[in-house]
Amino acid sequence: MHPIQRIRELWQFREVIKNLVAQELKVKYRRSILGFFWSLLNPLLQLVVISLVFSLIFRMQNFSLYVLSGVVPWSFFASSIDGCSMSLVSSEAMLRRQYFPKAVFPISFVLQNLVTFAMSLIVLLTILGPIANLRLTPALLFLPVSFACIVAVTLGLGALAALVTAHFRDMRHLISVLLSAWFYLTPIIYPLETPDGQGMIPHEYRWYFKLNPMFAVIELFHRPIYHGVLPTNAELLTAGAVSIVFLVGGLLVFWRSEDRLIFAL
Amino acid sequence: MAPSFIRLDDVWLRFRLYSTQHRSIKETVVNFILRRQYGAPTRDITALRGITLAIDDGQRLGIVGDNGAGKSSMLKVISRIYPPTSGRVTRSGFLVPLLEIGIGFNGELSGLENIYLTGAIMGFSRREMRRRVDPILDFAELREFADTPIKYYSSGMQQRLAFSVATEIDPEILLLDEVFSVGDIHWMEKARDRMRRLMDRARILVLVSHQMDLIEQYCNRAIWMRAGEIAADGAPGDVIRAYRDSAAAVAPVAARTD
Repeated sequence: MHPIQRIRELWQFREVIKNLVAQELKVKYRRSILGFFWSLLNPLLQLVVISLVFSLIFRMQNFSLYVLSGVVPWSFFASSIDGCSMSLVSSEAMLRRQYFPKAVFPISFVLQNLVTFAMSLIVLLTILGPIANLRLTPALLFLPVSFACIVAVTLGLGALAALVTAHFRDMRHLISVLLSAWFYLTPIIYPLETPDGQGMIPHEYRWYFKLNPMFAVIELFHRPIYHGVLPTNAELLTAGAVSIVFLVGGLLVFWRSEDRLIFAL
Repeated sequence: MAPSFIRLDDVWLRFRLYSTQHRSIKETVVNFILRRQYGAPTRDITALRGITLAIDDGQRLGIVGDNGAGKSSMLKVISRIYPPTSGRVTRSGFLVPLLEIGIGFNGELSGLENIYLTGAIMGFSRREMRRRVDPILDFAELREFADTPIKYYSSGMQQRLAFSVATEIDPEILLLDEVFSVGDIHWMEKARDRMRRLMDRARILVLVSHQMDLIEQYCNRAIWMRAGEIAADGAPGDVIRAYRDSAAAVAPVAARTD
């Protein structure tokens, strides 16, 4: 099927996506009104620990705000990919009963995780903003673009993770190891360079870090939240290109093998 | 309304059966390095061999044949759950497949929420499903459990719900596999009745069954499938007779594998 047809078909089945998103959110937060606050607790504790430990090493101004602006988007990225990787496998029974486009599973998982992500970023910034010296600048209005980029990258990789795990069940473990390696390779709990041009990473190696596609995406959050400025044009272009390549590439690969996926489940 | 139809044009279906349930990357890599091929021997199955078939509006087609002859695969190809390896499948008409009454539900969600989800998969919006919810819950006799998560349902309750949702919607093309059978005696009477009415209203019915009387009663055409091919096509009485004679003459043939 042509990609345009695939998109049209997904649109026809948008009710399935809507249902899956609404229901996942319901399940997530049903147990208690505290459900949402529990989901905040994890990044919050992570933030506190990282800030306490690493602020001693890096001696950076407002280090906790720096960590917050990177860790929250990263946990959206990582938890979405982990969730996507099981999304097809756990829906096998549904897929065997009736035909519908399989991309609804990664898409709805990313969308429902996006709701949690957006809410936790807003709440954490509101609570911690005054403590961590968040500056309310117009640059914060750039954040929707940052969200769009990270959603695109996450969706592309999430679709691939779902596909790979359907073929090899134990890929899930490998994926989570890769994700944590990727986390440490991305400047999130350490700065690539401090405002005075210093930093833990020697100059000659910084170039390698910038090759990491997630670097560009996370910078879209660092710039407006931590630095209080808009990303540079070069940063925006890089992140935009990364988003498109991952989204389009991921979906095209997914669609190529989507139809025969049922035989692997 | 445009007439419904199903066309299969030289349809082949091949797939690979893995003898262990799931493959792992560890096993694959280790086997590749050691250049060995055990742990997961595979079988390539050719389930359909060049099927050409036209089913027109008003036809009630029964499919008979031994286990592994490709009957269920045929239904799955018609309903697009399986993509044909080669050949073309075209069809027109709103189709509902009742193939595996497996528990295609999300256990964490309530019965009600699962009704909406199943409806969405069949192509109905929340609004369109809303007026169907009451009849579904009444028929399944599960009204008081509507808000209970499915994981607390007994398997009988889950089946009742699945059956009731699937049969609440009037399809133009109804695909029915015998596997789709139902629970206790009281329920069976009720379900059979509902199924009968559904079959009457559909414009095309394709029914797979080992119960010859069922096929003779409901169908106006039958095919006999043998090892992925159509061995006979015609009036139900004739086809069933041919199938019975062959069964008497030789031991049942298992699915051919390559």
